Amino acid sequence: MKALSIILFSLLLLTTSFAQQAKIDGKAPNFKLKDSNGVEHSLSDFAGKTVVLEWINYDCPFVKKHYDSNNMQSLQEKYTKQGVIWLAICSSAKGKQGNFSNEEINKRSKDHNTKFTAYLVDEDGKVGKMYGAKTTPHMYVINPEGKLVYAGAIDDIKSTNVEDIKKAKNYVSMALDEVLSGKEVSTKTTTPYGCSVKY
Amino acid sequence: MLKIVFLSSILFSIHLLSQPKAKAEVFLLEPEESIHKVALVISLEKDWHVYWLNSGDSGIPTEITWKFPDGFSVSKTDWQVPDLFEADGFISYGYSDTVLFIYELWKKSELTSDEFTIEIKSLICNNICIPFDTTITFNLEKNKLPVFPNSKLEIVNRYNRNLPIRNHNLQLKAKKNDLNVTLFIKIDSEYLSDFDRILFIPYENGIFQNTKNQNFRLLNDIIELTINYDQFKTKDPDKLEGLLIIYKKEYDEYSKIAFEISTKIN
Repeated sequence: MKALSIILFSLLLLTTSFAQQAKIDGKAPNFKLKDSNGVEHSLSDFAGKTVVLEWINYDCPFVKKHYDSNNMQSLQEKYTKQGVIWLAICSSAKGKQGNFSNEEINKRSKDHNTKFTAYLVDEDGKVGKMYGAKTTPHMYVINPEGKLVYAGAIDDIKSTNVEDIKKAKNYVSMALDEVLSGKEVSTKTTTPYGCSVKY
Repeated sequence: MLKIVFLSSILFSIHLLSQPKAKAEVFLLEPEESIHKVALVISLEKDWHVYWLNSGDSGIPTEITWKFPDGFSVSKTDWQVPDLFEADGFISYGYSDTVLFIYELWKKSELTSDEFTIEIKSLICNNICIPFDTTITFNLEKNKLPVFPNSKLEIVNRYNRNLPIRNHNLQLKAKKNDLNVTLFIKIDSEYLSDFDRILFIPYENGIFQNTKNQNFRLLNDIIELTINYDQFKTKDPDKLEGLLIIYKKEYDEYSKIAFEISTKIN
């Protein structure tokens, strides 16, 4: 009997852990995180909206490329104006690169003139691991039905060179334009590039 | 006092960050009349690594581009078998310490110039990452290029030992499943002595899970290896192309043999 209970419990755990893994065309797993102002946000708060998840680490050279050039902010501004919710998520653990106090996050976000909806703090990395976030940046698009429709790189040129941005094909922009015009996302997965997420 | 200590530690960190963590140099290995062997050496500081042609879960692939004059041709980059770097369950592939690339330069006809350029685009990481982009220009004319030092010949020996085997008689069959590909490998018994484990690492990123452990079964002389797809597989592959690495363990000492493979998936 005890053995059976252990097996059933293990199966339940296994099922739960699989259910928590983000999957393309599957329901985006819900999460609850506090932002850099201490306000709690759930993904479910944004039901019916298109949501972008952007894994961030302000000190990563790949993130710097997109913020120093104003590329990321331009995308944030363009799409939040169209009703998209843009959540920057930092999964850097305490003491690791990219982990800052809320004051420092807000200072840097202000200096960069960011246009995201919120900067969420995922210090224990649970949300990052649930979404399989490997790099900064690592980008995800969730459609208004709550389905994950894009996971991967921001663009197709793997470099830290700002000059490459204008030559690159921006996958996030492509996916968002398709979602916003009610089309099927044509490129659903790409290989992300960047610094490792500092779990 | 505390403030001074804090400020000093910040200044020290900034100073550390401003130090070069890697350097690239070119040496002449074997000068001959029509073929020259040239060694490109990337030296990294302790705990730093640079990436393989497939960087794995993070980083970017190292790109080495040659520019050479008409009348010359240059051999392709021969990548040594990479090491695996693990961070929080994610795996990347690359090299630490001293990385060597050997090229053959063939003189095919009369030259217009003998100026060569090597452009390296890469990223070096330990717990942080820094771009490492550099350009080396050199001439093959006598005394223009330093000769590879004899004291470093062990690096050349290591390079030769660490290149994948291309001409082999492995019999391979790959079968597509929903979540993975099963690779059947018929292998000579010589490779199975002190056998510890086997790993396939792909040339193309984004299709298969990057891992240091893949499940396998050994049935007589056939290994059945399970290669899982990536959580966000970028495409349905019709081929397995990459390195098959056999790890051996003898008295707690690990060694590896790698084969370059390319096989159709059915």
